[in-house]
Amino acid sequence: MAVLLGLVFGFLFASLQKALVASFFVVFSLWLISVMIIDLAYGYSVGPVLVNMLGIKYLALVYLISSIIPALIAGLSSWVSFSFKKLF
Amino acid sequence: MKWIRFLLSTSLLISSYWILNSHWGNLPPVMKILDPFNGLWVNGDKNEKFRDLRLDGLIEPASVHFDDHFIPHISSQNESDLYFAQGFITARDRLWQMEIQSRVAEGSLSEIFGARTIDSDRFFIRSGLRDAALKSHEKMLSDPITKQAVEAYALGVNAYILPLAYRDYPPEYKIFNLKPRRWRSIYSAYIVKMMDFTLTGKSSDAKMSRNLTRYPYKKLLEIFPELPYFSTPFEYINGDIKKNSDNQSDFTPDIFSVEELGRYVEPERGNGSNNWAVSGKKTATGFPIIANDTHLTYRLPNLWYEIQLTTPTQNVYGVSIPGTPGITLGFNKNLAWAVTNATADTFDWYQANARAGHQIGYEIKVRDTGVLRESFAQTPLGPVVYEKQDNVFNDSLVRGFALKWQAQEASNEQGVFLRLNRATSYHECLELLKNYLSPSQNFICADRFGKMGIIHTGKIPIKRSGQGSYVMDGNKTNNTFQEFIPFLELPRSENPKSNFVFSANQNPATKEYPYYLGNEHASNYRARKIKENLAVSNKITPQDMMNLQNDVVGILPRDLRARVVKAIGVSKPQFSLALQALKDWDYSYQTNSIGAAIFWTWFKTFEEIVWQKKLGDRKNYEWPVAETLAYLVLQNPKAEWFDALDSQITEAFNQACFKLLTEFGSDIQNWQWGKVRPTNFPHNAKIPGFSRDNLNVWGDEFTLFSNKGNHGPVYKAVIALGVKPSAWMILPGGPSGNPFNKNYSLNMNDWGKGNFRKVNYYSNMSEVPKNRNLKLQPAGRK
Repeated sequence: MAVLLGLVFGFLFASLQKALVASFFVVFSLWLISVMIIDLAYGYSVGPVLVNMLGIKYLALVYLISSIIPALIAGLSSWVSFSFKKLF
Repeated sequence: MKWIRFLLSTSLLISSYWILNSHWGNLPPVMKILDPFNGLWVNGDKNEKFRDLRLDGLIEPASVHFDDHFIPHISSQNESDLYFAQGFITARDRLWQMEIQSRVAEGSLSEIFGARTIDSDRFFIRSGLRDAALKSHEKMLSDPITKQAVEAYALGVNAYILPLAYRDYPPEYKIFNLKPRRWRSIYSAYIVKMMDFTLTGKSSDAKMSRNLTRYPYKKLLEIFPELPYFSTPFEYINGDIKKNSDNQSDFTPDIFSVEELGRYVEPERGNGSNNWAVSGKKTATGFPIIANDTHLTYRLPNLWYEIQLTTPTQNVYGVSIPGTPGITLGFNKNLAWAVTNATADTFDWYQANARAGHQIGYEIKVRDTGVLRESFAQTPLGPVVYEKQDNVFNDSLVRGFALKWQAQEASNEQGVFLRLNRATSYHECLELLKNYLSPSQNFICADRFGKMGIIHTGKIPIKRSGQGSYVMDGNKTNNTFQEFIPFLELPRSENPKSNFVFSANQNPATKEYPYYLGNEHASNYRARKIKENLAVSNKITPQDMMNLQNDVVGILPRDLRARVVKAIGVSKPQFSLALQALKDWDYSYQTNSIGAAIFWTWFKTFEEIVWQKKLGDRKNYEWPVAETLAYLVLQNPKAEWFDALDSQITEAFNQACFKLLTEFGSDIQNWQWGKVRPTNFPHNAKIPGFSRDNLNVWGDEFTLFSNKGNHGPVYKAVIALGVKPSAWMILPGGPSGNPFNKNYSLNMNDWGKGNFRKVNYYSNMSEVPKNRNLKLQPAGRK
């Protein structure tokens, strides 16, 4: 899904000067919001366990880490669609 | 340039995508598990939806009620549907645990965990446990009741597994990047054999043989006596069995080098339990009360799964082993049963020529590596588990160690349990146990009509005294066992004059008992405590029995403290407070007890001081049980095993205090039992964050609440029989095996505080509440 989102946003933002950065932040924000809403929907039963599992002190950090990695992938796929668009 | 940029970005994306979606060593597929819509985030604590499920394989409608403690109560119209539903519900809660447990005995852990579990797989294959499960499975299928149960159970498990999408997988499957395997009825046989390993797979033979390199056999009998110094035998009904003169010839073990046996995979050494029953003559209600607590290694999820199973022909409540149908321990309307490990020695090593038998090839699939192909020799003594090329005289001679183990035989214990679930009387129980072979257990059965008894069950080889406690020479024919103790000559007590029966893994034999049962029994402190209490109790209530299960007063310190304090006399000034705390201690292993922490640390240090020097390190040499050391201190202080007893006691005390001071500081108030010996419940695949560590729980290994920190009472039950039975149980860890579910670690605090939970035993369907019901419908029905 991160790849797909990255491709779409990369294509949409291709005309912007900072297309990749914009795409990264859009996907990052979407991911972060999704994770937080889903954890809330499940009564915060996953986040705190992942805090222990990863040995991280703060729940917010778990949310951030789990959003940054997909966002990086999205950034990369934005670059693909962005460079594809530049070909033509 | 534009093309290069495009190709570069595309290849970077593809490689990153591949790397982040793959499993690398211990690292899970990061992208997959972080996906908010399919990854770990959706394994959260869902609100249970109680609805109708249509399932292939079900014959008639069945229902599952979940009570306030989330315990499933299954009702069905027939036995097949009952076990189908049990398989379905158990898989829903414990699928990962079922898969892991079955793979251990199958020797296929490496298929999912890679090279790190090869030694374990190799052991379970070469020890013959996998083959024993295959043979036992055939035996299970030849018995109509067991066949119906294991096959229906497998259908139920698969009805749960087959529709699962990745997002529904238990979290462990996502972390290890695995897919649940389709369940087969043979897996139930693996799990039954795994329990056999847990209870009988420990052996001190190799360590005892190393002891023999330091002392002659007769000398070792002082510290490894044939019968324990403190005896708490059963009150036999079969006490008039005569000694057979054939069994009385002297046994002298041979001396070997047994270094290869150091690699042996061993279960926890203290696997044991407590059980007792009091007759109606001693209870307030006039009906028997039975109590059981099983002591096993702490794990999350709990080894047991609590459940009620009801059909028109049976109504049974208790705990099952996930992966097997029926109830293993529990009660029905008429009968209750409870077990402890008999600790009989049915696991024996022989030195043998590893080329003496025919070679058996086997394969171990190793994840990310390939297939390992090896072979071992199957000798008349048993399979050669370990071997070593011996080049001294003859290149063709390969020295090996063959294992003879009762668990290697085909058996159908599950058939016994399934029938016990429906049994109605003590005598029916006794008849059923004639078919029970392994693991050897002390079964207590009590019926509501007033009959009760304890039976030391299992197929136990007839041995000469001392035989089987050491690695034996496989070339000597008189070292092999051909005969077994007849069932009616096994230790047994029925409705004794004392009006109670009990066991706590102690040796149940009197001096007159003609058969040797091995010398690996537990110290008898727990047995003594049970006997002391029940002997003087009358008008007993279930609460009295719960209190007794929670007893944390130690008999070992009660026996030893005065002698220890006298020997220490004047301690180093900085430890005088510690000495005073020891003197003031009430022998109770409460979490805040300072005396308990000091005594325990002293005793462990004292054992090291005495046995490390006289025998060797504990990893390689067998040390006597605690009660033997206590006996020597009290009864034989001038024994050669001590250099200078009083000085050694004092030295141990000073060292113990120094250890506590170093680890917990100079303020003695911080030397509290719960901190000094914390209690940990690791996850069954040791995934960090899925464990519950550093719990503050009372009890010591020798108290009735037998808590060793990593091992203890994982099932506690008190069952009061009557017109309608009542029961109280507590299991650390809840029904759910999902670490993200709030029920995963349910009851941990209550368990640690000694609380119990009243069991909801529904006598018939009309008593089952109408809410929180899951209705299971056959797929074809409308």
